[in-house]
Amino acid sequence: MTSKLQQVIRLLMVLTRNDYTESKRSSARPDGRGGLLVLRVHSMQAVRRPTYTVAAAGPWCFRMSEEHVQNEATARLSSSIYFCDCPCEEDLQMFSNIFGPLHFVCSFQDDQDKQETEAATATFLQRLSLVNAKVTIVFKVRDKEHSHSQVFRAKNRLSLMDHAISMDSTIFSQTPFTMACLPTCTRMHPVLGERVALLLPSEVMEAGLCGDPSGVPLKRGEGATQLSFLHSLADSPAWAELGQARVRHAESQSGQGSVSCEVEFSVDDEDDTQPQGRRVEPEHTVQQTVMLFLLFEYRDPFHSQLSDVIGTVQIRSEETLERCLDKVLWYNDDKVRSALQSLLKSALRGFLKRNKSQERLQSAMSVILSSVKSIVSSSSSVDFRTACLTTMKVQSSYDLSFPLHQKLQRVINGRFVSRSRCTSEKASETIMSEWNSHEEPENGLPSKRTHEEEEEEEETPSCSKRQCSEFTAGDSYAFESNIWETLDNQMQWSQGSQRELVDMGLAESSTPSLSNTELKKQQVDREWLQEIENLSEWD
Amino acid sequence: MSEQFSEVDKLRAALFQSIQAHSETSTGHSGDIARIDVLTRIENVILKIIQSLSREEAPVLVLKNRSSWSNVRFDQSLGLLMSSDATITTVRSDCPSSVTKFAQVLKCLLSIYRLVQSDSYATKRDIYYNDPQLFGSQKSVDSIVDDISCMLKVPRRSLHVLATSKGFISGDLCYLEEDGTRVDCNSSSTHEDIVSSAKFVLIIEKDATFQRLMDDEFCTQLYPCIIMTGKGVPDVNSRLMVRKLWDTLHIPVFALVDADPHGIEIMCIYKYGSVSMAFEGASLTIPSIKWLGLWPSDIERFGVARDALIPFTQADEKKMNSLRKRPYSSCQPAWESEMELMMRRKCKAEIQSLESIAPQFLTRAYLPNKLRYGDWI
Repeated sequence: MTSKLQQVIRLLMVLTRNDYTESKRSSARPDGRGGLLVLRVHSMQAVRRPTYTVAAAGPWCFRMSEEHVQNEATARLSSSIYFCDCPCEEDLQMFSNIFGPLHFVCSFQDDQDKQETEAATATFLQRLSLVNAKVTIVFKVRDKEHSHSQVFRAKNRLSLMDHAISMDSTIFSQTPFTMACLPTCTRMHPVLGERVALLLPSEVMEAGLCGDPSGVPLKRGEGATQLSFLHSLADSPAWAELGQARVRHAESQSGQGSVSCEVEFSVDDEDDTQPQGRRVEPEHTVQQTVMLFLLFEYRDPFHSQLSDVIGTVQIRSEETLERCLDKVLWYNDDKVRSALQSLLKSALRGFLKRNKSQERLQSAMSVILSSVKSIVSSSSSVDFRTACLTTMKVQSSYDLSFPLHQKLQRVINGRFVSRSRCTSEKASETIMSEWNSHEEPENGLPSKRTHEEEEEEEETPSCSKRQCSEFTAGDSYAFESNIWETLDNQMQWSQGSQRELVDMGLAESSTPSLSNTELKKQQVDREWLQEIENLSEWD
Repeated sequence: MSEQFSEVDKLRAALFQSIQAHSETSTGHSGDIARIDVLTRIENVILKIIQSLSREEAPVLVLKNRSSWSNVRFDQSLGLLMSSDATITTVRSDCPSSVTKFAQVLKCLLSIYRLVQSDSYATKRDIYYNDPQLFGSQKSVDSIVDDISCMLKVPRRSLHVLATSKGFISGDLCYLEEDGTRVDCNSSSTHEDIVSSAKFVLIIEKDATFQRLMDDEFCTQLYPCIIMTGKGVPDVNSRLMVRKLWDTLHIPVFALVDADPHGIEIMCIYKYGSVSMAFEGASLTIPSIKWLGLWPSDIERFGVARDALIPFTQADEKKMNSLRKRPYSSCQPAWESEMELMMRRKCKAEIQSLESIAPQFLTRAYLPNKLRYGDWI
């Protein structure tokens, strides 16, 4: 993926972030919704230099004039970026029609014209949408022959560290280890970990890490150092404590329309190694995937006051963090491992509890069966022995073991009935840290923030199975206009409901003395419209 | 010397008349259950388990709740007995939280089955060591053995499971053990053919007091008598021993306990029984027990030094309140007034506090005079 595009998006995020911080101080927090357009147009001319346009609209982003954008871009971006006009104004117009006035537009020429750049860009944008789940991201590619678009939008969100994190499980469904034959759990259950203050190694400090983060996901560039720390987790003996055997990792592979992770791990099924007949696993096993998000936040109170300098410095800092992430993790080896261990233990609590119950049942089962069989075998009462053997339909006490075992196993298995869907209960919160009272430490890098009860309403109780993105490989104007129409229709629903709410609000203000019946009717209408707005989110 | 025991003899005569009047049998408890009967009862439990499994239903064990006062009733002549409609606990074999207990009960049943079948004996400790990992603790085995005894409606001794010896006994007592050994008490084992000319049995709460009496040659001084101690809260064997002595000798049984709630409770256990063993209550209680000392009123009467007294703790108050709510508390008005006195003063005293009056006061003056003048309640 082109680093220039990353820089521009980072600039947008930094400016938006700064604005968010300011508005938070004044208690005027923006809604956080809106759209981000990344348009890549291949030149029709002989020199094939694609042009990128990054545009943002909606309340989520900072409102700037075009001149101001230009000034900021010139001041903070590298001199190798050549700014130009957007070659496809009609796309900008359509984008604006749907998401509202444009607050940010920046077009520039890129010098990388490789097929894989497009795929890398899509991956980057999809990853960006994970941690900016309120923003609809549209990636559109045009060349002289065809054009196609992808839309990245999350239906289920979790608010964490001032970001909306996508909770759509379908985009994570494809991993190298996915067993297609098994049903997968369609829900994502967030389990929040603790906040860990990290120390910076001296070389990272000297490289200069300061300012506030932009919210752009860190991505290893080509040739960057492998994340050896994350790889080393596969060999950690702590997996045994979590009831996992033979953990192995592989490099991530980006599946079609799926999110690639930095590192992926798989665990071998322990039951495969158990002797026959020992399993109490129910017949329909549900595959589970644990997605681990490491969220980094760094603050330098000294530099954060220098707003004039901060933009460029922030961008440089994030690049430094990208390069040095592995070093930082190794420098805080014990702390990070301990926090991960604790988090995974919480996430796997249900699994571990179930395992323990099954172990207990299996262990007791052998005692029960051996005691019963021994008493029957050693009894001198013919009537008693006959009654036992007849009941179990066997000829001798020697044949008693197997049917007894089978029956008891079936009785025990009947207690564990797997469901293909999860319950509608909320996912449990785990460790609550002292986030709110904790001062950001110098050089501290908390990896995760525990979330209080705020904004939990954004978690939805169930998750749609539908893919949340993707229209791929459309190639006609009619098709692509469908993109905008579809987006437009969805946005019109919510805008329409908002307009009606506004109208009703006006109606209310102009006729203050409404009767009770009218008030009640309006209340019902408001609730109905709210339902429709919610429905539009779900499509 | 005959004057020494004149009151004791009168009491004995009165008790004997009472026994005849109430037609108490010499073995006023359920006798030992035949071994074959015990085996049959265990086999019935196993058969029910197999029948449940054949229907693919989870086998369950039903145990009576032995820890609730609401499950016992009080009979003045027998003591605490388990109610016929006692609440129950169901132990399921398909539930992770109860399956371990289910397995423990079956493991114990197997051990008991083998012991009874082979007519051999083992202690509860031996059962625990059959599978320490399964049982986890000795306490767990102790409780399960009593649960099985209650479930099968069989006395514990008929299960051929013995408790580790705890009580001591001494005095004019000889008995024959099963293997023909004659025991002259100066042991705790099974006993038959009790021979004694003792005038009374003295139950002593604490081992320290028992040893004190031994050191002061109390049994020689007040010959013939039998003294015994359960060393605190008595185990079943100790209670059985005293009951056996009563059933065989029909002689007065006196209790010498500290003047504190704990001592009174121990005395009540001998006399009326306990909640946990209420299912076997009639075979373990001695309702005719008399309280010889130390009474709360003795403290002032004999001039026990104030610094020998101990103030009540919160636990003492709680215990005393609990005792006063027991179903048998109103049966003994004299005991009740002594307890009220203790509550009013909010202080307690140990038997050892009598030493503040004079050395050997307990064995040279207190006990002999109490027995001589019939000073018991």
